[in-house]
Amino acid sequence: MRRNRAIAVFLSIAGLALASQTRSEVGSPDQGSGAMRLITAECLGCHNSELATSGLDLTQLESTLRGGDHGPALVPGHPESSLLWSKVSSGEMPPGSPLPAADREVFREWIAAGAPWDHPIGSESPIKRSDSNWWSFQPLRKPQPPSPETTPEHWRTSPIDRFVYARMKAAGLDPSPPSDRRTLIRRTSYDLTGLPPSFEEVSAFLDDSSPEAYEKLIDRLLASPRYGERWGRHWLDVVRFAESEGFERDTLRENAWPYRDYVIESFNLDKPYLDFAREQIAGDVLAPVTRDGLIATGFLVSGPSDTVGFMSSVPVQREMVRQDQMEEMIGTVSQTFLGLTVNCARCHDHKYDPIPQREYYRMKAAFDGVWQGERDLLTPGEERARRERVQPLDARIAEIEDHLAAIEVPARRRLLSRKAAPATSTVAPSPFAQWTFDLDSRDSAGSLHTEMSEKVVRAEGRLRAVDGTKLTESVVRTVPLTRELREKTLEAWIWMNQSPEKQVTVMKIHNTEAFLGTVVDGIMHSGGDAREWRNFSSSSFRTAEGNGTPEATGEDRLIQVAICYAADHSIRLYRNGKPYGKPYTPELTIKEGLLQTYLAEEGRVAFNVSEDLELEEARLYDVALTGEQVEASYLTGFLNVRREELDEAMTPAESSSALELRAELERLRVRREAIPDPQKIYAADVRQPGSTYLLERGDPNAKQEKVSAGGLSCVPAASPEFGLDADAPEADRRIRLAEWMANPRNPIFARTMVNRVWHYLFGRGLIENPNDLGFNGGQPTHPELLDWLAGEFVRDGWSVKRLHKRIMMSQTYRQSSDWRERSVAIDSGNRLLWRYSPRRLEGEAIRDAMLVVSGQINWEMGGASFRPFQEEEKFNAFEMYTPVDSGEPAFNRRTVYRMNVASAANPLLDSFDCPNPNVKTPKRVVTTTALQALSLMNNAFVLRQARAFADRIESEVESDRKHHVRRAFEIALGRTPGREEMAWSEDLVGKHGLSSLCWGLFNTSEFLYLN
Amino acid sequence: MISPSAVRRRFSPLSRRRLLFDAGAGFGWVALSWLTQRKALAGMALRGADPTSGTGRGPHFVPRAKRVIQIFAVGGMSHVDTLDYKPELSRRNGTPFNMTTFFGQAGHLYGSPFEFRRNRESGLWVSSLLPHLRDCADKLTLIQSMVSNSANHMPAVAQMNTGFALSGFPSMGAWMSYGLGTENEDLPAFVVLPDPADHPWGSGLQWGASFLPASHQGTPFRTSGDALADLTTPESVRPAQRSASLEWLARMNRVYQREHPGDSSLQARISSYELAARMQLSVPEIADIERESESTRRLYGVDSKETEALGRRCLLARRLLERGVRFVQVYHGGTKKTWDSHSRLVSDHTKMALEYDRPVAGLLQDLDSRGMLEDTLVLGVTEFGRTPVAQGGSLGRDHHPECFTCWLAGAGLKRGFVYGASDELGYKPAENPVTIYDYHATVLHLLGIDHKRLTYYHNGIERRLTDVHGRAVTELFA
Repeated sequence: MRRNRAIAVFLSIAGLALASQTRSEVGSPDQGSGAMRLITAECLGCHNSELATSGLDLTQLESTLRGGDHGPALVPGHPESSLLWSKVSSGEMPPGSPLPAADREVFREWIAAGAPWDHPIGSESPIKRSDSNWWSFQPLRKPQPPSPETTPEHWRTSPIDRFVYARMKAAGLDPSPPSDRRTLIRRTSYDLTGLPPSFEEVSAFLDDSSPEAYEKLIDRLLASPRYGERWGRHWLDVVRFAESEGFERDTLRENAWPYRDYVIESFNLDKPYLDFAREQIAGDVLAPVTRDGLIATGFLVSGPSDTVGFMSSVPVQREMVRQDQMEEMIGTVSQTFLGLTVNCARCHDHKYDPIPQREYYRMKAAFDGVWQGERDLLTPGEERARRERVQPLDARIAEIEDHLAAIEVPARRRLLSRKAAPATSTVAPSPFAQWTFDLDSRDSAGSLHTEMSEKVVRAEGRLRAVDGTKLTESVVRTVPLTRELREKTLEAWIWMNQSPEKQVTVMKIHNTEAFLGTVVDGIMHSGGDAREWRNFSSSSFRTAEGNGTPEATGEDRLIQVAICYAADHSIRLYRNGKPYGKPYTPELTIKEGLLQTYLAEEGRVAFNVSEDLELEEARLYDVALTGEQVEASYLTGFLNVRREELDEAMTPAESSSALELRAELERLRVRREAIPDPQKIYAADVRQPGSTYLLERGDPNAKQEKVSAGGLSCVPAASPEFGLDADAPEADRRIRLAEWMANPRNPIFARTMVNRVWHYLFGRGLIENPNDLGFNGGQPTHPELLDWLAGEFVRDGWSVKRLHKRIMMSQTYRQSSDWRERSVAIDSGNRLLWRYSPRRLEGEAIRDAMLVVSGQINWEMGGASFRPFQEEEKFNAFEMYTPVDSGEPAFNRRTVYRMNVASAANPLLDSFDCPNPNVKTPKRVVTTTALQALSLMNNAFVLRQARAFADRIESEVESDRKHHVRRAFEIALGRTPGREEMAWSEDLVGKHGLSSLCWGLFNTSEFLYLN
Repeated sequence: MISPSAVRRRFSPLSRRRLLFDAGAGFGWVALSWLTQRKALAGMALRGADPTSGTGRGPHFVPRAKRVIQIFAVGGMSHVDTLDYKPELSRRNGTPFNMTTFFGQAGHLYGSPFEFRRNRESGLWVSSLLPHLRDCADKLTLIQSMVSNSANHMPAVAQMNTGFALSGFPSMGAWMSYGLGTENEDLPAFVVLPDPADHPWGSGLQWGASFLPASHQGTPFRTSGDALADLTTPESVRPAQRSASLEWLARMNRVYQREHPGDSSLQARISSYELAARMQLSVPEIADIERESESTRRLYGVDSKETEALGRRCLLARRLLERGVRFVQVYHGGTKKTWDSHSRLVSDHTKMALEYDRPVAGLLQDLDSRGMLEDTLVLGVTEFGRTPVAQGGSLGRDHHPECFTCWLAGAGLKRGFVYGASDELGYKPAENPVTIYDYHATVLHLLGIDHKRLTYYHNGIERRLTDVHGRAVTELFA
C-alpha cells in the first residue's frame, strides 16, 4: 500500500490541467498513438530519464517494464496486472486531475493490445513541440480558489494557500508549521532587501506581539530603498546588464549606469510593470517622453558589442555581426517579457514553439533601427529648449570668429613674413592649414578648424593633454577637408617633455575613421627603445623602420619634424630642418602602398598629444616641400603669436574692431560655457532603418520577401498585425510592439513576471525556467495559482510590491524549512511547496552582508559605478582588467553598484556564482566548491571586513570577552550564542583575538544560508 | 539550490562517481591511489550539491582519452609556414591571386620563406620553424583542412573554445568538466595556464562556464607567485590562529548541519573547507616544478630564456594531468605578443616558434616516455591560419579561417597520420573539410562522449558544444 501511495504522489507532480475532455486527442496526428501522447503529457514531468522520480522512467519500453522502486509498471497484455493501469483506473493518476473515462479506456486498450511502443518518447517525444493550444498561450483563466472548507483553518485566508494546499493534499503531503519569528525576519529581509536584519530589528520584531507585526514588517521592508537595490539586481541579471562591450575590446561603457539607477528606482517607486516594460522597449518615443523613458532603452542595448567585427573590411561580415546583434536583442526582449525564445526562429521556424521564422523578422523589423550607442539625456522638450539657447549663441560665435579671422589671418601672414628674417634665400610657401594653438585652436591659414575635446586643452600656446588622460582619448581632429589632397607635407613643432614609452602619432591625416583599412599618414614617434620618428601609415605600408637616428631621451626640447609626400611616391623626413634618415619609396606594387589621396568631405587632420609630447604648432602644405623649404621653415621658426604683436601688424581700424570682436567673443563664450553639456547615457541610438527582409537560413546574402513590423501570432487576444508598412517610421514600430507586448490582454506577459517574482521568493518558479514558458519550459506545477496570481497582478494595476505582499503574507511563504523525511520521500524537490526551501545567499548578498556586519557599508545610492579593477589599455584599444582590492569607502558600496565588466574577474564573487554580465541569467546556478572556501578563507576583502567587524564590537561593547562574543553573534547571526557556542568562542577569542571569531562567523553556514 | 531527492542523493551520484573511479583504476596510471577512497567520499558530497548531470550515465563510448592538454597558439599560426607544405605556393611566389581578405588588402602569393623537411619516420613535412616538433612528428596527427567561421580574433578564439563565434557560451573545458567531472576532487577539473606575458582576446570569457554551473569554469593557475587566487593564507593570520578558527568553524557548521538535516550542500560546505585546506597543501607542491629533475626541465626548455615561460606551463600542465585534472589549456601568446603576423612574418613567426617548439616537443616526449601519451590527448590549436597571399605589399599574411591546420597527438589516434588536405596553395580545403564542430565532436568522442548527448538546458534550448552540427572524425582513430 505504501508503495502505491508513493508512486501516486510522484506522478502527481507532473499534474497537468488541460481543459480538454479527452487529452489523448490533444496534438496533431503525427504525435503517436493516444497512450503515447498521454504518457508524454501526463507522466513524463516526473518519470523522465533525468528525474526518474521513484526510480521510474517512462520514456522507454525497457525502462517502463523494468519499473521503479516499486516494481514493474507495465505487463503488456495484462492491464489488471499493470501498476500503471491500476493507478490510472483508480483516478489516483495523474493525481489531482484524473483522466476522463475515455482516456482511461485508451490506456486500458493500449496495455491489453500488448502496449505497442509505436512511437519513441522522452527525448524523442511524440509531442515534439507546442502549438497554439499550449497552456501559456491561453487567455488568463479566473480560477476559483479551492473552497476554504477543505483547507485547514490557518491556511484559509490566502487564496494562494488554498491552491497550494489542494495540490499538496492530493499528493498526500501536509504543510509545514510557520517558521519562528527570527527565521522569518531574516528570510523576509534577505528576500526583499538582500541584507540581514540588524539585531535591534530582530528584537523589535520578536517583541511585537501585535497581530499585524508581520504585515508591518513586510510593509517596512517594501518601503526601504534597499528593496529596489535587491530587486534591481535580479532584473539586471535577467536583462544581461553590462557596463562593457564584451568581445575583443571589452571597452567600458562609462555611461551605462543610469539604466541601473532607473531599474532600482522603478522598483522602489513601484512603477507599474506595464509601464516599466513599455519604457524599456520604446521609452524614447512613447509620449510623453521622459528622462526615465530615454534611460530605459538601455535595456535594448546592454548586450555585448562586437565593435571590431563592425569594422571588418568585408561588408558581409559586418552584416553578419549586425544580424547576430539583432538576434541577441530579440532574444532578450522576448525572453524577458514573454518567456519565449523568439531568437530560435532566426534561421528556421521555431523547433518547439509555434513561432514561424517570418515572425522573428517581423519582430526584428520593429527593432531594426536600434543601435548601441550614447545619446544626450534630454527629452524632446529639453532638447528644443537647449537648442533655442545654444544655437543662436553658436551661430553668433562662429560669425564673430569669421569676422575676426578675416582681420587676423592677413595680419598673421604679414607678421610671419616680417618675423621670418630669411636665413636662406628660400622662403617656405604658405601652408594650406596652420594651427598655432596660441589664441585658439583654429586653422589660421584656412578653414580646417579643430574640434576640441574635453581631454585636450590649450596652455602656454601649446596643445596639451589633460592630466591622467589615456592616449586614445587625447585626440582632437579637424573638420573635413574642403578639397582633396594628394602631394603634401605634414610639419609639427613638438615639445618633448620625456621620451614616450608607447608609440604616438602626433599629427596625422586620414580618411574615414575605421579600425581596419583606414587610409592614414602621420608623424609618429615610435616610443620604446627605438625612439625614432617615422611615417605612420595604413598597415605600415609607407613606414620605414630603423631609418632615422634615435631621439635623445633628454627632457623639454622643442623639435620640428616634417614629412614630405611627393608625387613620385617618395617620402622624406626632416628633423629641425635637416634630412632625417634616407628618403625612401615604399617597395610596393599595390596602390595602398603608394602616395595616398585624402578626400574632400572625408579626409581630416588629427592631433594626439600626451604628457610626453605636446604640440606647439602644426602645418599642412598641399605640396611636398623641398629640403630647402623645410629648412627655411625651421629657421623661420614656429609662429609664436603674441596678441600684442598681432595687433601691431594690424591697421588701427583693424586693431580696434578686433578688440571689440574679441570682447564680444569672450562674453559669448562665457555665456556658452555656462550652459552645461547634457549628461550622456548609454542607450538606444535610433536611426530610421532600411527595409527588413526575411533571410533564408539567417543568411544575409539570401534575402527573401520584405517584412513589416509585427507581433507573434501565438500570443492571443492582442493582434500581431500592426498595420504598418515595411518602411514605417522607426518610432511607430517600437511603440506598436510595446503596446502589443505589454498589454493586459497578453496573458503570457503577466504570467512571465508573476513567475519571476515567485522564482526569486521561493528559489524556484511555478514554471521551472523563468525565461521559457514555451514547450521546452514544460508545465507549471500550479497552473491555477499562476493564473490567479497573474490575474490579480493585472487587476491590481501591475503593482509588483503588492504582488510581493500578496505572496509573502501567505502561509505557504511563511512555512518552516524543516526537513521531513516522509515528505521528502514524496516530493524531494519541494515542487509542491510543503516547506520553505532553504538556500544559499547569492555572492552579492554575502558581500553586502559582510559590509553591513562590519559596519563598513557605504549606503550611497546611484551614480557612476565603483571599479574594483585596474584597467590597462593594450594594443589596439583592447582592455585588460586586473582585480583591485581596496578598503576605500567608495569600494564599500553595495555590490549592485559594482561596475559590471565582462572580462573583469572578481575571485570572491565569481566563485559564488555571480554571472557574467554578457549572459542572460534568469536563474542562478548554485555551486559549492573548494574555491569558494579558499575565497572566504583568504580573500583580502573578507579578512579586512573581519577586522573591521572586530573593531566595531570593541568600540560598541565593554571590553569583556563574553560581551564581545555575545555581540558578535547578535550582529552576524541575529541571535545570542548558545552555552556551548559561547564556550568555544570565548576560547577562540582568548587565544587568537576577536577578529578570529569574526572571520569564523562570516564562514559559518548559518551566515551564508537562508532558511 | 534545492536539495536533490534523497533517493538520487543516496544512489546516483555515488554510482556515477564509482563508475569513473573504477574505470580509472583499470588504467593504473595514477600513482595516487590512496586518494581514491577519500575521493569517493569527499567527491560525492561536493558533487551531490552540484546540479551536474553531464553525460548522465557515464561515458557513451569507451573512452580512448582520459585527459586532455591543449596548447593554444594565439593570433593565428600560419599553416603554410609550419605544418602544411605547399611547394606550389613557392613556385607561384609573387604572382597575383584573387581572394578576399580580412583587411581587404590581398597582395600577391607569398611562398613560405621557411624550409620544409620530412620527419624521418612518419614522412610528415614540418618547416624549419619547428625543428623539435619535426623530430617527434611520428607522434603527430594532422588535420590540414580545418575551417572556422570568423576572420576576427575574438570570435575565432571563442569559436575554437566554445563552438560559437559569439560571446557567452561555455568553453570546451567547462563542458568536459560538466560531462566527466574530475579524477581528483582536490583540484578543479579544468585548469587554464595563460601566458604570463599576455592574454588572449576576451581573456576570462574564453574559459568561462557561461550558463553551466560556475564550478566548471576554467581555473587560471599562475606559474609564479601564488598558483591560485586566494590560495595562500596571508601572513597577518598566524597558522595557529587559522587552525583554531577552522576548528571552531567546523564545530559550528557541524551543529548547523545536524540542525538542518537533508540539505546536502551543508555537508558539501564542510567538505569544501577540508578540500581547500588540502589544496593549500597540495597545489604549491604541484606548482613547484623545481621538483622535476634537471633533465626533465631541460627537456621542456626551462633552462633557456626564450623557452622558459612556455616550458614551465607545459611542465606544470603535465603535473596537473598526473594528479587527475581533466583538461589543461595552455595559452601561448595573446594580443600583443602574438602569432598574428600581418607585416613581418619571418621575424614574428620565428620569435613565437622559438618559444613554442622546444617546450611542446618536450611535452610530447615526456608524456610518451611516461606512458601517459597512451591515454592523454594533446591538442595543438590556433584560431585560424594565414592567407597564402601577402597582406598588401608587405611580407606578412592576413587572417585565414577558410583553411588551416591543427595537430593532435596521443590517445587513440593514428600516429604520423594526416587527415584532410588543403588545395595546392593552402587556400581552401581540397578534401574532407573539418569544421570546429567536427573538431569538438571528435575530441569529445575520444573522451567517450557523444557530442549530441552532452547537453545542458538553457533559455529554451538543450545547448551543446557543437550547436546543431558536428561529426566525430573517426578516421583519425587508431
